[in-house]
Amino acid sequence: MSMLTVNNVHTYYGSIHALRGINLTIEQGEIVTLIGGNGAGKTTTLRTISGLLKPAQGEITLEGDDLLRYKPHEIVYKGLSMVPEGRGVFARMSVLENLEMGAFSRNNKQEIARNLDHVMTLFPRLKERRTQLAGTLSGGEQQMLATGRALMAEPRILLLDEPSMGLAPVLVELIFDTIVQINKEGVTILLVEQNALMALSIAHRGYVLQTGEIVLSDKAEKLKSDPEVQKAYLGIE
Amino acid sequence: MMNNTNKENSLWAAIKIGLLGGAVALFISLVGMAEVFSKRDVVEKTMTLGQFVLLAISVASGLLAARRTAALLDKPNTASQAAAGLIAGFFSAAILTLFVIIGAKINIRTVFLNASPGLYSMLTLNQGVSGVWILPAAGAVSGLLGALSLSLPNAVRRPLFHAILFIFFMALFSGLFRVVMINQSGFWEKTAKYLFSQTGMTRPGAAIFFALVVAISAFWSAKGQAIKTNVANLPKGRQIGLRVIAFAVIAFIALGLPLVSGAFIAQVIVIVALFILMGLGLNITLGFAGLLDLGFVAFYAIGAYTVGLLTSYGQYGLQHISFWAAIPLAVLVAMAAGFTLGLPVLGVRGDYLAIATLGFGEIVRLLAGSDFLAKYFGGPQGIIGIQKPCIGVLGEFTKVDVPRVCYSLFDAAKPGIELSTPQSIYYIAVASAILIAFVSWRLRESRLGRAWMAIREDEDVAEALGVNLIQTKLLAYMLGAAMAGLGGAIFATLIGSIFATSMQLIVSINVASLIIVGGMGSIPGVIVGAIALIGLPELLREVSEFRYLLYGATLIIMMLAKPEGLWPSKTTQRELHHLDAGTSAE
Ligand SMILES: Nc1ncnc2c1ncn2[C@@H]1O[C@H](COP(=O)(O)OP(=O)(O)O)[C@@H](O)[C@H]1O
Ligand SMILES: [Mg+2]
Repeated sequence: MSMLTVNNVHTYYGSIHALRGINLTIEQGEIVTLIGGNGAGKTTTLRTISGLLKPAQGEITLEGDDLLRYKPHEIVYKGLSMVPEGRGVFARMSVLENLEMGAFSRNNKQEIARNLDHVMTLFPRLKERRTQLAGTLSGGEQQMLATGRALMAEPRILLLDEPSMGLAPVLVELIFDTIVQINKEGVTILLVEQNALMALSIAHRGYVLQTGEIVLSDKAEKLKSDPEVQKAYLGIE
Repeated sequence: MMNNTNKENSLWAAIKIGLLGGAVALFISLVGMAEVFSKRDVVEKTMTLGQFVLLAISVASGLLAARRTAALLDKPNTASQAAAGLIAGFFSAAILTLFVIIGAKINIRTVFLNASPGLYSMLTLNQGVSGVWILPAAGAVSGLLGALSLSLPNAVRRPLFHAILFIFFMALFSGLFRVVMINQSGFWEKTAKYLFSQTGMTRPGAAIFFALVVAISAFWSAKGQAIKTNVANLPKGRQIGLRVIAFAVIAFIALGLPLVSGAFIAQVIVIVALFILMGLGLNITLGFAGLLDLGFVAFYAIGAYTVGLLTSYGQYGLQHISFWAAIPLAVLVAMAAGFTLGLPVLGVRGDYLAIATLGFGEIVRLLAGSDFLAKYFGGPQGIIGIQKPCIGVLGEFTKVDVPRVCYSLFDAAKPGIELSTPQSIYYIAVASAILIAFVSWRLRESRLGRAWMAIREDEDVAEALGVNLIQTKLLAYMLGAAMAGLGGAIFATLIGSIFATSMQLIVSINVASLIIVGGMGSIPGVIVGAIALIGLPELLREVSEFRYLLYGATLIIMMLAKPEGLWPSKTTQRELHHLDAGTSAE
């Protein structure tokens, strides 16, 4: 059974038809990337999967379980976490409080503590700044915090919305290395990016989204060498 | 050359600061505050409060001008600072001088009601226009003193500053202290008469207070740090012992206060406690969960009306239960009202929420006071005859407008303890405030408290992390409402009657202001804010006329000088601290 399947999903903002029948399949243990230009519908796709937007039509299943049956706050209990676009850290809460909030859906104190240690080893910077207010962190640190917070829910599948946005190249590399490591530890990844080159270099497979429709899907190396993709998303003529 | 322009700049700066001070002084005079204050003495036969305030403005102008000069000049020295102080002081009084001269020629009272002969004679020390030179002279000297105070060493300046501040404080409150002490008779009465006059402090009284504060402040700035470290180094057992002693002293004072304070002060404290209850309630909805509620007074009204309807022996009493049984019901009804408000506005955010809640508050007030529902709520006449709380057994309700008798718990023939005075309601109000402060603190540390803060920061993210928005927001409205409802319930028994007209929008605004001034989200901040914005104006009957003027001034000054509030939560403190330090580089 696939980890996540999105079948013919249509989502509207009022009269704006933002998703026009999206199909995605993600297998257990994969890194799958969803690339596309500004306004293609990437964020809308992630928000629909995580329950924050209700699709007008279509099916979304997580390991065969129909996700559309659940309320938005129940989805995290099914093992799906999201790192939102623009990080969405709780600005006036400390780093530690942000991470603790990430484990809101869990009860076992010991397991949460173990998880916290793990996040701190994954992102040593967060450990140094555990008492600092999240709003005062740098962009890269906020991205680490948002990722760490999502991991605190102990997800089986992690959705990331443009983690490279606004970050210096060195930091992008660091974040992507960590994504690979998280994946090696058994977490399935759906990575949304505009930075197609970086995304395709760590992903196993990729989908190309254009004005609410999937126009291409293939193995990552294939997409990288596809002339259309090179022209539109990799800046290669 | 460079130095020269700076000199000009600093001269101009001093004049500007002086004129600004002068404008403030003129404003205070024209709104009538100066004259009201001149009826109170700081020191009997020496200085009135009005003079004190005007001189303080000149001193402050001189001090600020001197500081500005020091910042502008390359090589500032005492002489140039003193000159700046003198100039600023002179100009700070010059506007008033002009005003007196003009006022002597033309009658400006048709426009400015407060430009009265009393004001002119106050400003010229009863000398008439011929004494008008007194003003700029006093201003210049005060400005000079203010400037010179800058060159005093800190160890001298601070105690002096504290002492002057304390003298001002005592001048404002001397009447209250005097009455309280004289009521005790004997030694206290004699002391009061020695320290205070009818209108302020006596000369020996002022001297004693001044010396005392200087001594304490000097001692604390010299030894305070050492004492703190000594205490911190004490063994744990001793520290706990000290805490217990401190706690016992505070408890002793709190329990004994109503016995000596008299009804007026007790009533003021009760009102402060009620505002603390409302403040703690709004602190949950607004401070913790970030949900603006401008109709908060509605819950207070609902708590009050519930107690009124359930306990009144007047014509609108529906039931005749005891106060103690009515309290939990009032809290429950307020919670239900919180739910009712919360449900329709769940999806409403920001500005719209402010309007929607404001409407709710007005609807509740209008319905309660309407003729349409007058047969239930008494309309504009309100509900009267609210039964006082009784420690003991309440007698049967016999007929309308006859209070039920309170019998002793042990002997049905003897009277019980009826809590009918403000001094006795004090215990209920203060105990409730303490209890609710504790509850608030536990809530903040709880899972629910964290969820509130998360939705305050980002609703969508909070929801994605598993926070049930509907439930969490409704709980914020309901618990906030419960606290305000408890306040209203106690208010109803304190006054013995309730009127819809006392449930105005301004009460909600007061509550919002006090949490902003205290420090948003901070529990001690609510207490400090209620004392500062509600307690002080209630105690100072003289200034009550200028209450909203001072209110506005306080809010503006706070927002400029201390936006985090008087007693900010740790988070806010950290936030501002870190923002000042700047964020680290990528
Ligand atoms: N809240 C909204 N209301 C209306 N339209 C929206 C909203 N959010 C996004 N859209 C529209 O939906 C489309 C897809 O947006 P989005 O998913 O944010 O794109 P991407 O994340 O790929 O940049 C865009 O045309 C955008 O203008
Ligand atoms: Mg996007």
